[in-house]
Amino acid sequence: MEAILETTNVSKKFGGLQVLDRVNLTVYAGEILGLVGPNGAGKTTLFNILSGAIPLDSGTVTAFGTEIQNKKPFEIATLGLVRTFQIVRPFPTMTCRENILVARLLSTPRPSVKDPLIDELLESIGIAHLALKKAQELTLMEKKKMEIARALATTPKLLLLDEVMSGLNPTEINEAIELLLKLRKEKNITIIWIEHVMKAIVKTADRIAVLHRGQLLTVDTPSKVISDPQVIEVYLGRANHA
Amino acid sequence: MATKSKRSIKWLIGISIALAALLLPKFASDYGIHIAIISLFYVLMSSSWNLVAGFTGQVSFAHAAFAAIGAYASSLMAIHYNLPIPLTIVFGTCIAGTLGHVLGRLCLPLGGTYLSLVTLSFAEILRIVITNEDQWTRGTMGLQVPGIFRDYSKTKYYLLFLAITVFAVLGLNLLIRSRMGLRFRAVMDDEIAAASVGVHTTNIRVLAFTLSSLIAGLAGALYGHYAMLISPDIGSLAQMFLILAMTMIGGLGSIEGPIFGAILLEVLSEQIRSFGEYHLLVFGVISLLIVRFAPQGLAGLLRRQRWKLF
Ligand SMILES: Nc1ncnc2c1ncn2[C@@H]1O[C@H](COP(=O)(O)OP(=O)(O)O)[C@@H](O)[C@H]1O
Ligand SMILES: [Mg+2]
Repeated sequence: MEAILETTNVSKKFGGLQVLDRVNLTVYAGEILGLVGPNGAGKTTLFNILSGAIPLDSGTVTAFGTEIQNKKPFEIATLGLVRTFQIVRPFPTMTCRENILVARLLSTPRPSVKDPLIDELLESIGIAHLALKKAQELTLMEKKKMEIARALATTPKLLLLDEVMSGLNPTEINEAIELLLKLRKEKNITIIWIEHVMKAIVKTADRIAVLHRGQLLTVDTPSKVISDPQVIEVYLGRANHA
Repeated sequence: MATKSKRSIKWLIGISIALAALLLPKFASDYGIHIAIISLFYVLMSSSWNLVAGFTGQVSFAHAAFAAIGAYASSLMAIHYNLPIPLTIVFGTCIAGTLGHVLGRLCLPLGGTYLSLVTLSFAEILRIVITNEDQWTRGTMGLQVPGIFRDYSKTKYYLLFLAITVFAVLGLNLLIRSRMGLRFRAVMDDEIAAASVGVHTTNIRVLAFTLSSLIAGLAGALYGHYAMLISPDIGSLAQMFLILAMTMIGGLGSIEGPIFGAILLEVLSEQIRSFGEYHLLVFGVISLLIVRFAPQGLAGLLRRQRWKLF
């Protein structure tokens, strides 16, 4: 299998807190990799480093064959690695459609005003009826969906999703899962997917990586991960306490 | 149907304004035409300042300074090299644009606060330089500048200013509605999100700042050859705050806002000139109230009444 992303010994400290500790992770082309771990484990920080939003302290990140740890966010996005934000970041004064059009400019510098891909995206994410609404008027759920559509509009090769399903009801979660599977199949996108909803991730991911206090505990198939005593101890055990 | 009649009302209003603007010199006194010309100068200044402040979300205090650069560069070229005025105006415009580009490249990557501070000092340094280099600029005594037209005619100046202002405003409107304008707005709305979908945020800001400085330089150069006497006051912070107030009161981030604001405040300042420089203070207070209670300015209030012009 072809590695699309590789981190070697990625470490990050915030003040005295070691948030990421020598993380070595390989992501293969075409897979859906689930990334789980208790709150504060460092998942979002890892996304911030992969997408260039914050610098790492040491280590390297290689995506699509090039080292990207010193690249700027827009350069990384241009290479085809695009993320969503755990705390949504829409362009509030722009309509849903305009939000997505901005992202579309990356892959198609001159999309036509009636670019069919945008409508297709709005349709498949289920927000076609909101196309002309200002992003600031959307509900949190609608904003999250809009952000996924926006990320997809760049036609990424590797998509990082940060807790896009928290707050969804079970039906919506099922729809979202179907959407992810469809994306992988039709658009050949590789996905790293941070999620708290363990059930959804076990059902959908090809492999699951478990992060705990900045260290990668294990990366394995869902069935192996959920029966791993170490994982049950630190992740599920803690989650039950929370 | 409703939209059709609304559209024809818009056209009607637009044509009336255009006619009124074209016929103004037939009916207005010389003083009236003068105020119209100065209003157009401020329309150019506020609209272009708005490109940076209202559409990419960064506050520059050097906008009046760039007008001074355009005015002095063009005037000095005309005086010392005796070149045709249209050529020196182009030269002044390009100098302002180039300096704007350099200044933007230097400070925009460092963030908004930095830009505000650097432009503030830049404006002040420029004023001091113009004041002190008086063997070139004649300092505060003022520099006598040749006019554009062989025989002086306020009407000609007015029509020139009108043509250039209309051209610039339409250009800005097109730009904002273009794909580039979409990127401008994305950068203003959320810089991090914009970068995350591949927008080169620094380049976008530098582009906006360069265009904005370029237009300020053009406005300044035109103003110089109209007034035929320029002093460091063109680039003063008092000027800057007037432009700021015009844009804020008219409506930051809209095309029509700075136009309303510039004309309204210029006409008002002529009316209350007798109170001395206090009018700036009054405008400052009004700007603050607007920012607090109607952040979209007059344009926003009018838009709520469904009278959107552009
Ligand atoms: N910018 C920051 N500055 C300081 N501490 C941070 C910053 N971002 C995250 N942290 C801390 O790093 C730890 C990991 O955070 P995060 O990566 O968001 O965890 P997760 O996404 O796994 O819940 C937390 O303790 C958090 O408080
Ligand atoms: Mg997180």
